[in-house]
Amino acid sequence: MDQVLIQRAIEGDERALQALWSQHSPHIDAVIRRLVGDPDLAADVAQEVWIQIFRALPSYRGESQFGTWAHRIAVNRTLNALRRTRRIAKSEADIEDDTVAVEHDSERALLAASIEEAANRLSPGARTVFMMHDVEGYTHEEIARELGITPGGSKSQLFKARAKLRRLLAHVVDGLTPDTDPENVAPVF
Amino acid sequence: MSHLSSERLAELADGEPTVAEAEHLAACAICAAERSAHRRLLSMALDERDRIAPPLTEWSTLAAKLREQRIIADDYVAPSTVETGVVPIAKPRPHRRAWLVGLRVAAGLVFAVGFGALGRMSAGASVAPSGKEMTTLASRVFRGSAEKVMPSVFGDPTSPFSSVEDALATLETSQRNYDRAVAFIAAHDSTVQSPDAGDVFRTRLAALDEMAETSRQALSVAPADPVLNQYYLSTLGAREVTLRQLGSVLPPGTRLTRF
Repeated sequence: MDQVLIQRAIEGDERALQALWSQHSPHIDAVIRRLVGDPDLAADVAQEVWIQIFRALPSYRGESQFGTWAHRIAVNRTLNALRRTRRIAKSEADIEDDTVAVEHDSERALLAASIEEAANRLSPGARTVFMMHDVEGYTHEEIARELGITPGGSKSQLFKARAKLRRLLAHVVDGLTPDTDPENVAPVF
Repeated sequence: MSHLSSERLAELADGEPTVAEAEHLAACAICAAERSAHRRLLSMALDERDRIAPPLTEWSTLAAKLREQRIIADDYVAPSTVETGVVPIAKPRPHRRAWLVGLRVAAGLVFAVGFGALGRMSAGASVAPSGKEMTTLASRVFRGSAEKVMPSVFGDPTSPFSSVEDALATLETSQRNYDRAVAFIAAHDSTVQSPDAGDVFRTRLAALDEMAETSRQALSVAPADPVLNQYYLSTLGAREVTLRQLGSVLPPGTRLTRF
């Protein structure tokens, strides 16, 4: 079925493009949302990703499922967008460094209700590595290639991320109530 | 041996301990419990992969950009099922044609039942149609489908259409109006205020998925069939609207995977 839609989509049929988007956006957009975190930025990235997916349609050979193929493009484009955004954010932060105090670790403030919420409290790098490895199923070698880091660096970020998430999600992982002090339920060695 | 560090325990969620670590884990209840907790966390992360979410953008917004970039071709002409000037070498096998009619009927039936349910929900009635309603719907759809596939309809002097192209253009316009109507109904759907709105939308989503699957099967046999394309695209449009509605009624932090 996808093959027929894809052929029509390549030819520029809006209905076919809409059908592909409608069928696959619940999964693709969820991936983008997970990797980006911020909903407004995610919406912008989603548009960029879908344009890229549709532009690349003629190169789809049907060797994997369309959803899998589109997923790869989505991850790749989202990471590109994140890199761009972080570069801008970094240059802005450098300028404002002396005047703005940033709270980097809100871990102690509240426990998180979900993995997504907890992951939002990780550093951007750790968050990306965690999402790519533990959620999307990428290997450390693949992550290293995508992010321009070493596989060892990817591992190190992942284990730090997991340790922090374990504390933030102690009430979920241990089946305890959210108002329980995380220091009491998740020992920090 | 002292307790394992939290990062090492995180690594052991899907890694192998050394001999010394294994001995420690066998003897230390605290570290063993921590390793189990990390494994549960890893399992939660894996479940995230199946998560679905309402689209991050509206089709109309995306379509405008696709049009700008000429990915959508405004002059695209949909292939017609009626080929002119081409004489088929072999006639279609009767049983295959009958099967196609059956699939159209099935698609029409689930379509009518699904959207009947949508109307009933908006009116505050039960979602499930009664047996009598199903029978009535089936007879209507059956009659309607039979009329649609009979070639004699094209020669009907009372038909408002002068050609297949004319009918297809009307179908296209109707499709767009239909999509707008579904979006409007969804925006004014009183179900959203109901405490069990989540369940209602999940039921609707499940019905729409069945409808989409039935249409998809039919389309694999007749990919350019305009009637089947209508059913399929309308179902996907309604699915997207319902997914957005479901996303809007779920409490913060609730995961949306299967429904």
